[in-house]
Amino acid sequence: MKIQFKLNNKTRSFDVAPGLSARKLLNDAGVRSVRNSDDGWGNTGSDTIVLDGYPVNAGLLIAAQLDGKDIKTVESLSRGRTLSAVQSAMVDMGLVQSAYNSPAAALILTDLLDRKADPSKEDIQDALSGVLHRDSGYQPYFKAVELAIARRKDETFQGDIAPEFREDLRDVGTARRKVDGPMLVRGEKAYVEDKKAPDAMILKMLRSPHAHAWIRSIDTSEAEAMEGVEIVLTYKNTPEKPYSTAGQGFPEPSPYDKSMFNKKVRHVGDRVAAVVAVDEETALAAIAKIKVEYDVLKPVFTIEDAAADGAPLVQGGPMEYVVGAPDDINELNKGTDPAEGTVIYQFPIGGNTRKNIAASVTGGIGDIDKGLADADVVLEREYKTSQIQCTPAEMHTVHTYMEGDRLIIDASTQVPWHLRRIVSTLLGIRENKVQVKKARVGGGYGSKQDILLEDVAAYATWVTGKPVFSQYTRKEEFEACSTRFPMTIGVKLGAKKDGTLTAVYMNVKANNGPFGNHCLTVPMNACSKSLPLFLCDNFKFDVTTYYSNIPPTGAYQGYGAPKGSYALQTAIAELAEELGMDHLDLIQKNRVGEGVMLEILRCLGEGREGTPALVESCGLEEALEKGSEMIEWGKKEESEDPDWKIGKGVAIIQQGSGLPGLDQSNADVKLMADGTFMVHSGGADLGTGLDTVCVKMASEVLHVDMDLVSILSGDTDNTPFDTGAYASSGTFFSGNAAKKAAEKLLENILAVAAEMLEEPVEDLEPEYPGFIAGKKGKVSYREIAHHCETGEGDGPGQMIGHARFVTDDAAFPYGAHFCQVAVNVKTGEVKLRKYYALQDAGTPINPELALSQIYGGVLKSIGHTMWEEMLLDEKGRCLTTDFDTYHVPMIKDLPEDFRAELIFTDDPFGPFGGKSVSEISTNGAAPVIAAAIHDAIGVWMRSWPFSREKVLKELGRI
Amino acid sequence: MIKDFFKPSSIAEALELKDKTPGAFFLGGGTRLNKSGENFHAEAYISLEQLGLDFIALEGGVLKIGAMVTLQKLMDSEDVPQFLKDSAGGESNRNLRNASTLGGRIGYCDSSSTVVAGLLAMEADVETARGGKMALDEYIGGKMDDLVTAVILPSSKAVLIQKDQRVTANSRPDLTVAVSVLKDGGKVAKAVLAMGGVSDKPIRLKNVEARLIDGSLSSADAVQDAVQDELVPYTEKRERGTYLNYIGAVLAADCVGRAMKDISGDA
Repeated sequence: MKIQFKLNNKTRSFDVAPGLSARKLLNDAGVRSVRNSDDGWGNTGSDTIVLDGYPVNAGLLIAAQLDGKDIKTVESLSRGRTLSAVQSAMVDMGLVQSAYNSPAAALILTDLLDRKADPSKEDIQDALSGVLHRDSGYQPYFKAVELAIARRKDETFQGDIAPEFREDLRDVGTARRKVDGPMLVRGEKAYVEDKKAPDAMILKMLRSPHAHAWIRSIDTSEAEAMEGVEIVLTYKNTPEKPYSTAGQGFPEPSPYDKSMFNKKVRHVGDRVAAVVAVDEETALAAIAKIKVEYDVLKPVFTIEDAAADGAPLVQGGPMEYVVGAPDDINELNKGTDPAEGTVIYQFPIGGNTRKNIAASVTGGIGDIDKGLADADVVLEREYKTSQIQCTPAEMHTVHTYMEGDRLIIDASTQVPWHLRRIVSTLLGIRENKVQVKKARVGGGYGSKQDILLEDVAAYATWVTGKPVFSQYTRKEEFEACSTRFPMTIGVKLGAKKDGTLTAVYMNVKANNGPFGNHCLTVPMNACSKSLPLFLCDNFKFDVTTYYSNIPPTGAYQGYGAPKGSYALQTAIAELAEELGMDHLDLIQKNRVGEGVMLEILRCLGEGREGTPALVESCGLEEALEKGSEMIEWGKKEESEDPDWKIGKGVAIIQQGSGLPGLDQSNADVKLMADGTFMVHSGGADLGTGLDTVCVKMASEVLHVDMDLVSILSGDTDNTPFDTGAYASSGTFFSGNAAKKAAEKLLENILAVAAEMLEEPVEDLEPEYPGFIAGKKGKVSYREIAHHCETGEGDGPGQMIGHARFVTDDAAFPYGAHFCQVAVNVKTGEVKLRKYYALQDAGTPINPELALSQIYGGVLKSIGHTMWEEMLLDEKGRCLTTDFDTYHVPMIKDLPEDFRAELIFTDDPFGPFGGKSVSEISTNGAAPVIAAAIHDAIGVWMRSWPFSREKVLKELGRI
Repeated sequence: MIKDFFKPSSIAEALELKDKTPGAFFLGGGTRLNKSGENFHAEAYISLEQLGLDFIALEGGVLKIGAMVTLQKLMDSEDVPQFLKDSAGGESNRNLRNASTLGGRIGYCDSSSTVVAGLLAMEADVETARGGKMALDEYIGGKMDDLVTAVILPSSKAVLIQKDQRVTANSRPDLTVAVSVLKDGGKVAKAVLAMGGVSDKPIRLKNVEARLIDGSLSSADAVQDAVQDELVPYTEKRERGTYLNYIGAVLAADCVGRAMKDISGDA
């Protein structure tokens, strides 16, 4: 049918199938900003358009409904490269991290301000109630609206964006616009989906309906015969080569226990076949033609099931070790079935697939038995956590194509170099034949640290020569992605009557799901980011990770720390009750502080011996002092309504800044011909602002405006190696590499300038806004560049500084979270009345982004604590594969009074004193809310989520 | 697969199209028909957009709301009572409310629909294309195959209270309770207790309603017990039935208590 409508004030006509999705029509019409986060369920707002003056979801409209309408998209908000008042306010407030839904939010807020000149907090929450924005925690929107209102009246209005740190520096420690913020808020092409070639084939996956089964037969002939089908991939025609999806440093502490396709399926949603076809409809139609017969096996879903004698084996193939095979390997491999595939360990991590154990480790310092014997009080508790999905707004997406004899991968990834290595190894081609180009990442949170669909698309392109595009559905995000491990954590504490800890023991049992990606490191992290918060002579931990047939697990922001923190911090709170001590006093008595040597880290390495570390900077003292004042610790609050009980809680948290002794980052900084600079960083900015960090490093070192420094990052051809964006490494590792590269460049520049000025190098220093100044004169970067590149035909060549950053030094971020809850004893409802997150990020390099990330991390973990949970049925099918049933926090779920505070410390190892900030933010919510609920109603919530139903059960109401 | 899209200009034309087009569905805002995960196998849509059903009219104390009024327009109207605005606000996020129509919400009649439960408590009538005017309670208790064209709300001095239990602010409620109490001469003259989330559609608990009128439920505990008893047939076989039974009774007792307090003027 023919339809006509106004699109951003221009009349457009189309001849369409009436049922065509309006979102797809707009995308085809060149409007990329109308995106898709939930396949047209109406819960995320990525697809917002303004239709006849009302923001609605284009994914819930068909093309025919657009006929005769007036449609506005984010492209209507600004002209060319300018920003509207709302957009500039959003950029300044750091609401452009992954930014996948930022254009939608800008459109909605513009509509709001057009309707109401001075909206209330509730108005803002209602307007944005349909927009998913995981990474910023929504809180900065309130200030952004204030800014936007002011800028609508006076476009030069700057306002108070964020606190400033380090007066001695120009850009570091001060809010500056995220370098990619403007393009993202304008909805410009930025993500992998924007790079899709017009002739790209579409790859869709046939997934297993069974949690555990053999593929008895698979017949793809009808599908292959269909017009438009390029290739069908199964275990029969793809490499049988075990690998791990985990994007970790090689050799990985994760077993290689799956091939691209396997004859045995190990979870509902496991790969069975991939169809590559001319379009999605054809691919899906072809999938429907594939005939598969299964021999269904008994599955195991829980840790108890997996550990039981005679339990079905999830990985029943033989084990191999690259190094360090146990002496009884042959014995262990007796009776294994090679058809299941080999499980290859790079080195021993305590795995025994014959017992469904993917990894295990035990360690400690001192003598735990003696510590317990010396204790006046011994407390033993167990805590359980559920499976949580990362839910990035941008679903997993890849685009692959050939350029000559080279395979190019446009990827939304946290680990470009690991991706290249894994794909090239899997495909049996050399790395020089593969280029990974990281696009902007529309949310990762750990789930894009794994290689989940890039390998199949790359293989399809490699064997067909055709460009291939593939994007997960939201359902696939739940069924075939990486998720937070369910864990059961036992904690045993010993203490003297005065509260002195004498023994701390953690027994972590993790449910890894079907594959062993991150099987050692995530649960180890539950210990390594929890135990060092306390001082004790006797620590012990046991970690065991079990294979099962639940949907896959893996990395998620915070890694294992949120679970370990929940268990240990809640146990400490319970110990305080046992001892009759104030919880905060008990923490203060035993907590870590500056100058402490953390011997426990010796046994908390990632699959190898760790290194003790000295705590050089620690903001806990100030965080606890300030937080306790803010929450009025010790003051008992009473509600006027007898059904509501009020309580307060506290927890201390920590994380790392990358993995000293393991990680490596590299960067180059180049002087351009006109005296500007180009940073080539290996770092993978997944929305956190790492590119901005690196630009600030260079501008600060070279004494120039940030606008004179540009950056290219995460491109395996054009930037140097970086381990990747995980383990909170970005600022510390990639930032330090950029800083060192800029310093190296400056050193080179100074040498040339010394010649030009005929002064000794020692007399020279960089001078803002772009000079090298000596005692007698000065020369601009432009003049130096000209001299180097052209000169009189004999210039020394382009000035380039290269640096790598490796270290054994650690910079631990710390924090204290406080909250106040009100609990309704009749309904089980828990209201978060106050939540204060006080975090030591060293020198906050981008304070506005740091705050935004704290809000985001906290709110995510509030979601995990209170509402989120992947539920499986008795067959292992995930029942919560959409945002109707999987309850992520939205803007109306914010704590009533939500504040993040940055505690300044000057760390000697961080770049300009910077530490990591994002992951740590997820570690406080569960223990602090558990403690507050106990303070309110006297029950301990020992499993998350703390649903109303569970609260009522704990209260004995049901 | 939508093969045809019709935009009739009269109700009669719409009905005729429906009769002669197999697989055709009436289209309001499309937030359910076009939603992924909902498979209606629709082959054609009959848009209700040009039928003149996008109106809110208040005449002689009677409020008439066209079926094509979106939930947001309903909430923005000065003529709509706050109780109904709040009921509509509980349905979904603002983007969805901007598209979702009142008629659509009644037509799909979700188990825990706050607006349907609210309308039941208000003793709303619906006007249908073929059957004329009937009580909403009667309509949703029947086949629901007639096109709702409008909702009619009588003038009432009843006190209305609604509460729900849900996971997050945007989640569909586990359970919603809407109560209307009208007192006359110190006695309860009329009581309606609507509950969503315990059956496939919102229901009225008529035993409890009768006992509120006859005065045999004199305390909150008595209301709670009576509601629990009446809910048993609905909740005993449901997943999480114990929880729903309990929370339904708690919310109902709370709503009734508040309604009574509001009437008596107690703080």
